[in-house]
Amino acid sequence: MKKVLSLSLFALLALSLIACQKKVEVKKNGRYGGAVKIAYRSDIPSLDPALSYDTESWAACFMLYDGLVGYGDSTEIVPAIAESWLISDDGKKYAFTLRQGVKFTNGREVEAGDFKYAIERVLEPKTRSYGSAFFTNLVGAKEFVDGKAKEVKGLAALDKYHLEINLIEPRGFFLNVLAMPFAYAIPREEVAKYPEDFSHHPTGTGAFKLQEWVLNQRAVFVRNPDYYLKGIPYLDSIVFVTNVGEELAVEKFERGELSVLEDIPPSAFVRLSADPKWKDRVEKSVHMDVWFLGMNCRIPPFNNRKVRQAVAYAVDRQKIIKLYNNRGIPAQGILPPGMPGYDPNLKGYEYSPEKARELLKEAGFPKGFKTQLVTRNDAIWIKVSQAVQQDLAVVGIRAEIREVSRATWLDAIGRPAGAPLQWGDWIQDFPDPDDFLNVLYNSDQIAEVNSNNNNFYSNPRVDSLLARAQRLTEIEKRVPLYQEAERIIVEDAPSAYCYHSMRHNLGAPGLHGYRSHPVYGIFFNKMYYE
Amino acid sequence: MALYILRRVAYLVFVLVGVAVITFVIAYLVPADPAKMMAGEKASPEVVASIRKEMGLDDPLWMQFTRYLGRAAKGDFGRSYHTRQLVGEAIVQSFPATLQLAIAAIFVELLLGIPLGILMALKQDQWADQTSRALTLLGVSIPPFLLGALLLYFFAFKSHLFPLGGYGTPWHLILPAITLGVGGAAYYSRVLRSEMITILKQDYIRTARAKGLPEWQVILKHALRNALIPLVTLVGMDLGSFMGGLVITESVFSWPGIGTLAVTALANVDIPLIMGTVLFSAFCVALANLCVDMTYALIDPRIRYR
Repeated sequence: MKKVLSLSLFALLALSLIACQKKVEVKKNGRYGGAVKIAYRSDIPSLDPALSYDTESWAACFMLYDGLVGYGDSTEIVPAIAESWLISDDGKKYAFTLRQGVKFTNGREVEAGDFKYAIERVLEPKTRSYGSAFFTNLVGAKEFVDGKAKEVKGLAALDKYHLEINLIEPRGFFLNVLAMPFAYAIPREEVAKYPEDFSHHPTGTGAFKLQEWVLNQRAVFVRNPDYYLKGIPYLDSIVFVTNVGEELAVEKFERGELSVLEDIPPSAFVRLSADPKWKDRVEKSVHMDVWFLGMNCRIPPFNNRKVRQAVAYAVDRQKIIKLYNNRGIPAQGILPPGMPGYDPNLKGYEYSPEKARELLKEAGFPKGFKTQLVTRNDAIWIKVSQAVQQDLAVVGIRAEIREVSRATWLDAIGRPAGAPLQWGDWIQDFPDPDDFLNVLYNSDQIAEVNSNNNNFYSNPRVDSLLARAQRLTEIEKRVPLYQEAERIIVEDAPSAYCYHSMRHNLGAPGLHGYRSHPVYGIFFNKMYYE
Repeated sequence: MALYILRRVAYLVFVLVGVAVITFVIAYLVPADPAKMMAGEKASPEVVASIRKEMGLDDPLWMQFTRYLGRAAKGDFGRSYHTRQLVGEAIVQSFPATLQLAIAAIFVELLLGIPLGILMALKQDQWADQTSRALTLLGVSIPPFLLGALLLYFFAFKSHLFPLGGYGTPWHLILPAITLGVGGAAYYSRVLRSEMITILKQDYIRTARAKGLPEWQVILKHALRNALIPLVTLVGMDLGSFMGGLVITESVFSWPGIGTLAVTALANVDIPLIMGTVLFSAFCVALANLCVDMTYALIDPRIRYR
């Protein structure tokens, strides 16, 4: 058994966070008790954190489980089940000390080995986890995935309360990765009982636990009385009412059958925001996303920088935001406000058809050209695409709109010859600039199928900046590199960045704490009634 | 008769295999990657490729289909790509809701359609007939999604008489059943009207009246019995197709049936679930056809099967 002597190897510059038993502020005007009901369009795909990678599943996983670390009131990493940790000055070794006495809902205490098990399970090919790529940088991960090793060497449970993680390359955002549900602690004995169906028997350490789940009807979560953070949750239960369309959700909310609307649907937004009964109960927040008109840099004429810049000038962002009932802020670049590295001084492209025409002329397209805009067959996506089509037509670009299903859209944008233009968006997995810039614009993310870099954009200078930024651990040193990369990307204009959306949540009278968290979205752990 | 039934069951299996082939091919022809749909928009190409490999999605189409058929023959319809739930289990969980709605809708169709059809036939070309025909035209024309939305708005949201969609009590069943039943009732009434008008001119009806039978016996016992035969076909076909899923009505009313399952499967390119819901639907329709044919023999003793 390795002693914590290994910690003596860490230099003085290693980051250290000393945790205390986190005391949760008891709201003065709040009370314990009550239930919150929220509607979702579809049923929860999974409550297995290894298989959860969508809005509904994560909303539930954030209630049912905990990781080594989590987020505070904003995007700062705070201790969760790990009470403290040290990072070596080369950024490759993380040593966590766990709190004692944290229990799963089956009564067993959480151990360091549970995190090792959870991450290995995500890497295990037969799990088919959507999060495995986040952990391939662990020492020994490749050998484990290839079946040449029985465990991941880089995950070491030193004893019951000490976990050591070794990376092949340093990654400044690794703590953010550990804050994702993929790395949440799960008890192996419960997975062994339900190897194919752990999703329906979730056993975590979270503030709530599953009481009932009826397919396409509801999922009911009740307070976990043994939650390790004293004082929360405030609510007795959360009910996910599933299989409810947007319009029906609004009617149910107005009739008092739902407690909160997550992001008021467009069809009801103007009415509800102006209604004296509801307008003061709307909570706004910037969503960590970016919406853009993407251009495929491999398909002519979008392989010409001046053409791309012309498109960026041609698009009227304010008009698009109006189509969303003004629920967005214009995007100058890629990173949304609130994201570490967001540059408020970055100037993007203003709306200027004149500049657009000038650039097209310089590029050799004085009369414009024909192209195709691929969009999803969703009412608002089509409306926006039509607005973009009109803007482009003003400067001579005749874009034919191709409406397809989400599945076909995903396929088309991920192929080099799939979509010359696409209307699309990108939402964060975690609040780090790498999650946007590296995933979307690094050349090594280009693939012939399912390419994440679906602009097929390549700039060696950007690649170099992103690679350097990834390897640093201090965010203060990483940010300038990401900001420089973002400036270059915006100048190269692989996309016309249009806006970052705003969430407008609406809560029932007396309910508090339903404003969207920048990472967790609607976060039930801290909701309460007055 | 037994031989006839055996032959029909054999046809059923043949039909199901044919439906399976067509559905499988179409599902794979759609330009979408099931592995990418499972993994999500943000999944890396490596993760997607790994999932494809684990799922056997890189194997030739014929190999995937043969593997599927082999398992299906043993009752294993696989697991949903999206939720990992057993397809059979998901269908069994969703079927009761669809069956309830189907039976309730048939009940509405018959409750409204038969009396209206009789009325129209007896009052042929009079104001009652003409008004009824106009109403039935409306009933047949109005799309279920519009009717459902209107019923929800006026009778649930505004007046609070009924729940706002959902499932669980008989009260939840009424509005979706009406939504589904109105169109069928309109159609049934017109078919019945036409049949009754023809039958009421038959000699045996004149004989029945000449024998002094009360008019209600002439209509209900003698005329209606024969006029119902085409309705048996319609009811059977409706029941069969309803049990396979009611996509639009279930969506409008948040009804957790097979239709909802099918819509989710299609949106996610969830091939095992698509196959399961389509095969189940085909089975219901084929079984309904068989039951309809058997019922004819009960209603009309002249019909026998060899």
